[in-house]
Amino acid sequence: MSTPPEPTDDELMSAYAQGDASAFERLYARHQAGLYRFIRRLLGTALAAQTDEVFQDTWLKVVNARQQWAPQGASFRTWLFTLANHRVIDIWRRSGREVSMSTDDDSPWEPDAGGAAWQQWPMPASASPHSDDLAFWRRAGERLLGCLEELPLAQRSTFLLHHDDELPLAEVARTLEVGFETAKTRLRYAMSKLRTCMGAYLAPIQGGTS
Amino acid sequence: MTDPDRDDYLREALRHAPDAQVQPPTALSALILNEARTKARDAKPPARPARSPLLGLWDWLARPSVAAGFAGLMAATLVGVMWWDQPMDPALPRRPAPATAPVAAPSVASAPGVAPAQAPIAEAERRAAEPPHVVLRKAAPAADKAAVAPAASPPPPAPAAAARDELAANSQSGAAQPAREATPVTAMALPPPKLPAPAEQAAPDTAVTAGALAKSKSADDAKRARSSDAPKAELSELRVQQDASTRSSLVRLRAAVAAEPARWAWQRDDGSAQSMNDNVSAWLAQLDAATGSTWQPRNAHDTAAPLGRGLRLMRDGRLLHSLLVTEHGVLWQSEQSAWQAGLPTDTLARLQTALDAAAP
Repeated sequence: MSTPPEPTDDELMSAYAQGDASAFERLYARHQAGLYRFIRRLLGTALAAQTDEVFQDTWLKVVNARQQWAPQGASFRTWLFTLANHRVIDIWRRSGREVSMSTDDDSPWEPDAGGAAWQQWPMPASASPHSDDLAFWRRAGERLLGCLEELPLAQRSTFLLHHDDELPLAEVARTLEVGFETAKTRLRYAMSKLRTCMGAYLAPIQGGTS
Repeated sequence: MTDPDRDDYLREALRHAPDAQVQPPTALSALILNEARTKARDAKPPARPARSPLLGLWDWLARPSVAAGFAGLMAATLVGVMWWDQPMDPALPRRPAPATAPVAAPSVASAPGVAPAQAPIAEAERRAAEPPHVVLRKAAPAADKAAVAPAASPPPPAPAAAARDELAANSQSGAAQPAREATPVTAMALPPPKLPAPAEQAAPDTAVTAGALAKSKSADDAKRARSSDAPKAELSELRVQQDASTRSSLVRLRAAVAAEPARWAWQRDDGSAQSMNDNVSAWLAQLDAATGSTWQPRNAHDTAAPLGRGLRLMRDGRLLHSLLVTEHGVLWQSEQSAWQAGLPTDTLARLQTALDAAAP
């Protein structure tokens, strides 16, 4: 006996707009972890304390705008992350940080030269990671979070949406309300900088896979 | 638009980042979900059953402003219905009813020797038809005349004033016919100087047309009589008898006869009583016109003296009035009072001849 297909985000949101509270609960269950992580990483360690505030505001905007919401080419998920991105930009500006949307970042970005202790690189996405590999990737993750802190907000959000939340680049561009090529450029810059930052650790693998 | 490949190593590093499994605080999730449920309840009000138009109308009437308006309207309607069938207060100024031929007028016209009375009647009707301010202006000289006249000791009954009372009584009793007849007679305003009560003599025109301020007592009596449930005819008669104790008026007598001629009868001395007819009514009108305001009260001794050959008027078989034409004047005796009017000899002769013709 086949189970009925899961309703899409748009269907659930439409149901919630008509008063179905359970539809919202399912939506929340689907996206709460990814959204919270996205906000936390976008804010960075300096503004991590405001993660809860941004997260709550984003969902309450969804609740209050349920009657006006209509899928107009963008999915619910795109809309949800757009709301969060706007709120993070507000937090950034309020904190006095520069929010540069320019992609013409020609200034050379040098990776952190300190701590070149990684010499062996396991294969990524291994089905049963070895304990040593797991420890490696955890350290790599910690390093990557540090590298993200060095990215401008626009590149950071582009990279996170594309690599962490696995949105197609077109959706990323729609979420960030920029053109596709802009998003692509931002992504390219972000990946280049992150690779450079992580280069001391990823270089042996990059050389083996590319 | 080809999607660029993701960097597996960067993605793997993200998956193993320390915050990869971070979750929003439970309290925060509960707060958001509660808020969402609350808004969902607000967005889904309970379905209201279809309401009938009558219920909608009832709800509309239940509004305070609408209910107050309807209550005021109903109160005004109630007051209007309560006053709907009430006769107009005779004390209030009003225009007389359209002139119609009085019942007794044809008989008066047909009776011999009544021609002099027609002119004053017509004059009275014309004056009554005039606007009140015109009547008041014409009455002013009479009032002025009354003001300079010496005040007299106990005012004897003035025929004109008594006629006003009779008019009020008849109009209140609904006897339209005597009212029409009394109106012109009342307005005849007969020669004033000889009356010992000049104020009352000057009053008739202004009283009838402009509110009868001077006869508030009569108006009060009229109101009391109007509120009574007694038959209107009985009220009229009662008023005639009550007023007879203090006043005497041939006009009132004529009005009473004209109002209920079937109840009246006349009798010549020892002859048999006969039903009232137009001839006798016409003679009474002639007598009224001839005597005018010359009536004077007689003393008690004269009142007790029996009258000679004349005309007796009975109502329901009861003798109420006796009229006698003598060679010096006309004597009139009612149950409680007696009056006399001195007239010229030729006038008395005409009255006697007319009486013999009307009531042989």
